[in-house]
Amino acid sequence: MGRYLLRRLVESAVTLVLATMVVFLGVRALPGDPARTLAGEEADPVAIDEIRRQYGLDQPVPVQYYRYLENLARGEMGDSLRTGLPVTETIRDALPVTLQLAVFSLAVAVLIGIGTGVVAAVRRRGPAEWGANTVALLGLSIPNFWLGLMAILVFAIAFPVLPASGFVSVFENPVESFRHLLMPSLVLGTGLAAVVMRQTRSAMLESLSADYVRTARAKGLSGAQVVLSHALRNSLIVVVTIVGLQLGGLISGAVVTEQIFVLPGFGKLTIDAVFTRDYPMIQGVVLVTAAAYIGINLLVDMLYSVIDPRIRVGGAAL
Amino acid sequence: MTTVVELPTPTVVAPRSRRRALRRVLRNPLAAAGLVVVVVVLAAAALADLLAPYPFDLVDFDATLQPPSLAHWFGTDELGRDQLSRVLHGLRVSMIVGVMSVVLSLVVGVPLGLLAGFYRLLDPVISRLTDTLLAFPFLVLAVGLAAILGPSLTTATVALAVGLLPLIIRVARSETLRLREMDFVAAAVADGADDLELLRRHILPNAVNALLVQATVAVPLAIIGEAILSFLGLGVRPPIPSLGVMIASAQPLFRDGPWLAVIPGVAIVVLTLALNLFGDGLRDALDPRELRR
Amino acid sequence: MPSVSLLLRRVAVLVVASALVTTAACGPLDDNGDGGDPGDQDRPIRPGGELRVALAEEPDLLDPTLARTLVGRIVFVSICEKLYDVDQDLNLVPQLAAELPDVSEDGLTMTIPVREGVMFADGTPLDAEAVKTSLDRHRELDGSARASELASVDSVESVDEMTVQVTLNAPFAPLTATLADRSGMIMSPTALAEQGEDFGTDPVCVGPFRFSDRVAQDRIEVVKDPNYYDAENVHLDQVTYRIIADSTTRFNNLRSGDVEVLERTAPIDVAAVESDPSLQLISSESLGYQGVTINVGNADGITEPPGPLAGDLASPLSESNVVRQALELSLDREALNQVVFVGQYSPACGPISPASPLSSDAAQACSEHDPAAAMDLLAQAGIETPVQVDMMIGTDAQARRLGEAIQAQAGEGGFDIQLNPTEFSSALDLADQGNFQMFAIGWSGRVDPDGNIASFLTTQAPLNTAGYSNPEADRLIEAARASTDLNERRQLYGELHSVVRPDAPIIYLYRQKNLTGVVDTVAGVEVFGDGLVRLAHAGFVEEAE
Repeated sequence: MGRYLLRRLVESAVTLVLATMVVFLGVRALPGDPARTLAGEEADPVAIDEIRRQYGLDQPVPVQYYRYLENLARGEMGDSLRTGLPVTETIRDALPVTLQLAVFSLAVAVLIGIGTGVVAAVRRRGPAEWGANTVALLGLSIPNFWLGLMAILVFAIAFPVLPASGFVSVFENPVESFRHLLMPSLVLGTGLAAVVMRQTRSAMLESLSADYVRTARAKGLSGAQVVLSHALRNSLIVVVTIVGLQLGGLISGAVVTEQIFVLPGFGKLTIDAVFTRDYPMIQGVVLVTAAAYIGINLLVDMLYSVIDPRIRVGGAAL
Repeated sequence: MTTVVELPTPTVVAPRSRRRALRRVLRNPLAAAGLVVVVVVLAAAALADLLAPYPFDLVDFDATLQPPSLAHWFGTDELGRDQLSRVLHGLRVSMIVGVMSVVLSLVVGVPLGLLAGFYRLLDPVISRLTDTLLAFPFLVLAVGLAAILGPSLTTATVALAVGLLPLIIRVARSETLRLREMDFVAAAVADGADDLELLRRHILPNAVNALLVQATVAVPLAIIGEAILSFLGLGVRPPIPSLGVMIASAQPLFRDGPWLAVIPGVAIVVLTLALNLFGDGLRDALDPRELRR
Repeated sequence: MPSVSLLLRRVAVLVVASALVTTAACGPLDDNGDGGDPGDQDRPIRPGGELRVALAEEPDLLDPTLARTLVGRIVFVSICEKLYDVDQDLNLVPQLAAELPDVSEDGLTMTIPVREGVMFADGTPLDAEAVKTSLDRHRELDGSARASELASVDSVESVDEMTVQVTLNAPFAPLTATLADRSGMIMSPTALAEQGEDFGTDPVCVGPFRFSDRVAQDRIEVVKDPNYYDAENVHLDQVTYRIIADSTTRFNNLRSGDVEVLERTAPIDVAAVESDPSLQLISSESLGYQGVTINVGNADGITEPPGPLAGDLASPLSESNVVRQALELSLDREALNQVVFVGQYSPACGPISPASPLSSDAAQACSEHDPAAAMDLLAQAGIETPVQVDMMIGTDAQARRLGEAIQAQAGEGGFDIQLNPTEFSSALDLADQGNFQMFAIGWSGRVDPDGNIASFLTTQAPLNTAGYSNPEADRLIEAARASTDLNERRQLYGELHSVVRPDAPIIYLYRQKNLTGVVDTVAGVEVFGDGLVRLAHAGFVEEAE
């Protein structure tokens, strides 16, 4: 047990270091010179050289990498090339946005996914299962950028009932926050619903065939009681854990969703930084994303090894 | 955008039972319908040059933004190009990128996964690299790569393939780990089979089911990924139409030509839904647990 | 004798007036930077309120010395006033200066009186010393984006408490116009002393509003500054600049009431703004241009001397100006404008806006669309058709649409254009390296035409990505820059156009308009030819409550 945890810890640390390298080299492999991009229209060669010097971009890449790690160890990520604001500060502003979007979206995904999953497991082979299946898969099949555009056109423009963009924190104004996040989280959540649905269905099928459920049935409990009180409850543990692993998927989805609904969160920050070649910002946001993913994976693995040492989770998130 | 593959429980599946599995898929009406749609779209995309009523890049400044009509079933865009022709060619791009990126990730990922699962020494190296790739969200990885390589059809394919790679490696690896412990592998070793033969003749054929399921899940993902890359301006080069590009171009024209944004979107949904329905059916059919019920 | 600038101002008014009645050689000239529908903007305004403005991009650092983005100037116009400004007819007028500068006869000394009774947002009084501190910082700070704009300045001295004297190392007519941009922004010396290089995170200048808060990639907030010298005419309590990159989303936000002012309305949305009774449109001619830059001699990168292209890049297009003329003949500017910009922009044939006081008929000379003539030219020159050539374009929908339209038109004139969508960052890099054949790009424009010309067409100038080099053009550009006589400058620019046009290193295609969308309940928003959204006198109209 202790050895397993230790090994996972070491593995995660190695992965994290590799991740910093990938980000660092990847950023430098981007075509286009950040100094030139920053200079924009006004390309004065002297000023561009000065920007390079200021941000240490004139140094050899290994030196830059070493400096980067050195700063990272001190908890510093540098200043954004674009806004001049500290990367850590910008990340701190963006994180709550994406987290709130993630929580709302997961809620949507769980509502749709567990509902359809239970139906699909209980009513095998029939229109009900087909319907549940199709609903869940439809969510997976609709490109969320398109769904987002359509939603804005219908609910913000044609029938202006919801705001087209922007973010209000749930801690500031819960009602406004809900209104602002409703469309984005529906768009993002529908994509995840299929995952939840599949997990729920297979976990349900497993527990429905388990001995204790048969016993409960034999004791004369009704179908609904069995499903809800026994099978579903036991399935939920697995489902919730799997859902927790969807961070990567959420960020992927958030990239586009945040872009369309103009939510100043992580996904939008990432894409904007890539397009403006804001090296420190890309390094910062992608690293935090990767670290979060690695951390959650580690946590889940540990939880599992405590709950059921036989299970190793293949949490593949896209 | 996200999926977790359920692996079939340990068993040996011979090709014959695979044929039986396909028959089981076709008995599932949703999966069968999905397959029919996929085949029809594939044929339409392959024959786009013959089926398209106009060349996809034929600009007609006198017939811009025409609503759907008999002459133009899906209307025309702001440059007067026939939307039906563009949707057909766009579907072709979707299919090419979707299938090719999955094929590419299989070609690279399966050997890596087999090696990682088979040789304990290689496992940590390959697994750490896989974990590292997995730590970056699929789209972030694809967008970054597409930006590095510059927008084109090949780029989009490669970027998406790399994004899918960790999934394929993981499945191939865990299948190999599982199969390596099976009796028939031990029997083959006793018969004097070398490593290559073991991997090629005994392990790979039995891992195909899991990989097939993973691949059918990956194709619609890659198709949507291509649309997103194109939507962000990192996809195919104009004037070759991509459904994502068509939606991006149509976005500001919604008032004057709503069909321009709606039709390509619906085309993507129809294609990916069909693929997902078929893939879901295939998974059920290949999952031996189904046999018990 | 009257000062040059005063003269310039007087003539400018005349020229603008005559430009309105004469038809420019190339395309009609409608709305001449007059701020659209002034009637709607003149309604009585109630005090107070928060105005939300949608910006198309994220501004960079809000430090006038270091700032580089165009969009940053839109925020600066609210918080950092300049020595000079332009009025709605693009005449230079004093802002923090008391009068237009007095320029010595040899053009080497400029005397600027500073406006009295002005306070920075932190209460520090404005004086000559503060002006000197800012101008010196613009010129000398490491990484200053202003240093090259002020390269002609030799020294800045405060002659008395309220007078600044600028000494030049060579006569430079565009300097007053330069001081009407970021180079003329004066920063609080107290704040500079306290914050140093971090000035941009909390800028303190003179302006109707002062900086309050910034959340990266989301918004910038500025609030009314009670210390402002004209504070009683500032109505709004607060302006929030929201960053919304996508033009459709931006427009949707205006329509749904999530913002009140929309900077850079897409041409395609203009009809919707005009047909919506709750929205108004302010339109003004831009000072910039958009077109296609052709690599004619940028063989080894922008810092190297121009020479013939080699390898894949070499083509008849780079080698022969006749081929480039044929390409220009094959393009139909009016049709491009109609198809790509629903007729909202104006065709352009040269670097100088017809709205500029320095424009002339000669500077607007243009060729007619004639694909048959293009084919003839190519045939006469013995060029094999179709001429294969690559064109870099942007990755957004509008860039793609423009590229596809150019591709289709050039096809009729004997050209086969391959479109090469490239991200902006990569494209700039490739252009600097000379690794391109054609590049669809433009320039946002400067008040003085020199800013639209010298950096692009002078041999080895910093933005001369075409690798263009023509001694005659160099001479004319230099002469126009040194001349202090407006008529002479106008004539020189006209001559320059007739020299450059046959060489066609840049095919000028169209001129954008500054299209600002405003909700009906807001009045007093001003947008001039420089495209900045001026909100000093904006506010919510009375009847709105």
